Amino acid sequence: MEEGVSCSQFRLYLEAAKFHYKEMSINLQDRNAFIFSLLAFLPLARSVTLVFKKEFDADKRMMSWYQTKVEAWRDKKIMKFFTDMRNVCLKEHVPMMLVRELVPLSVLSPISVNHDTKEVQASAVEIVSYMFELSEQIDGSPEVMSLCLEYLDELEDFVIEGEEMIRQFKGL
Amino acid sequence: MSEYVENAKFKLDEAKYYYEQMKVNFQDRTKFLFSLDAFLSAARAVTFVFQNARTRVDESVMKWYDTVTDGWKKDKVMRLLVEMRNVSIKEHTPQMQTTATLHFGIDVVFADSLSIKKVSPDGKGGERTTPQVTAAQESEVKPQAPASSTVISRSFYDLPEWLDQDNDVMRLCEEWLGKLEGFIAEAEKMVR
Repeated sequence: MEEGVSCSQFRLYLEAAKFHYKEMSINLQDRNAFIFSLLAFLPLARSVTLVFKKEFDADKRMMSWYQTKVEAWRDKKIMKFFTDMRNVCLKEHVPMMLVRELVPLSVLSPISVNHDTKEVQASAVEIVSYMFELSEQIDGSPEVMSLCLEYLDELEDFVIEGEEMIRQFKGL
Repeated sequence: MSEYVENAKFKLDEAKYYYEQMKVNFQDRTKFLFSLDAFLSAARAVTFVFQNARTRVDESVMKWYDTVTDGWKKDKVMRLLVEMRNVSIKEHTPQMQTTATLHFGIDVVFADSLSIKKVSPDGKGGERTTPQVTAAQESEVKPQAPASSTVISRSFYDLPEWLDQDNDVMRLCEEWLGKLEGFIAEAEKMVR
C-alpha cells in the first residue's frame, strides 16, 4: 500500500482473493482443499468491484472512471467468464473441472494390482493441474491456476489505478 | 440422492472447512477474517442451491423448504448470517471486536545496593544487603522480552439493534452450522 491512501475495502478484498489463490497453490495435491480454496477465491475476487461500487457510489468522478473500466472489460472474455463462474458456484454447483495427473508406470502396471492397497497407489499419483471444462468460453488454456492469476492481474491493475484516482481526486 | 441436495451438502462441507480454518487461524487476524468471509459465503449458499433448483424440485420438498426458511426469517441468528454475508460481499469485511490477554514481564535492576530488614515478633530479625551492581554487570542486563498477546475471543461489532444475543463469532458460526446441518439431514430424508 502506498503512502497517502488509506487501505480501501476493495484493496482488502483483492488481498483476500490473493490469499485464497495462494491456498490453492499450496493445496494442489488435496482435491477438496483445492476446490474449497477456489470456491472462496471466486466470490472474494468478484467482490473487489462490488465493494468499490458501494464505497464510491456517491462519487461521480470515481464512478465515471469505473464506467470506463467496465467498458474496457466488456471485450475481455476472462472477466465475464469469472463473473459467470462465481454465480454458478454460488447458486448451483462446483465448477466442472478435469484433473491432470502424473501416474507412475508402477501404479499402472498390472503387477501393482496385487500390491498392498489402493492407498499406496493413490499416494504415488501426483496432480499436475486442474482444467475448467467450459473451455470454449475462453481463448487460452483452461488451466485453473493460470486463469485465476490472469483474473487477479486484471483486478490488481484495477485496484492500483483506483488508488491512484483516489490520490488524484483528494489532491494527495 | 438428488443432485441439488448433493450440491447443497457440498456447500455445507465447504462452510465446515472454513469454520475449521477460522479455528486454525484464530490468532492471526487477517487469515481469520479471510476465512470468515469464505465461511459466510459458503454457509449462505447452502439454501441458494435449493432456491435455484426450485423449478426442478418436487413440490412437496419445496413446500417443506419454504416452511423451514420462513421460520428462519424469525430466527435472529439466521437473519444475522444473511445480513453479515450481504455486508461481507458488497460492503466490507465484518467489523470485529477482539479480546486478548497481554503477557509481559518486568526485570528490575537496582543500581544501588539495597538493604532488606526482616522484622519478626520473636525477635529473630535479620538484615540482608544486595551488592551494588557494577557497571560491567549493568551492561550485561538482558533486554526485556517483548510483550505478547493471545486472542481469547472475537465478537461481531456494529450489530443490528434487534440482535440481543451473545455476539461471539465462533459461537454464532457454530450455531449456523448446526442449523444448516439439521436442514441438510432433513432434506436428505425428504428426497430419499
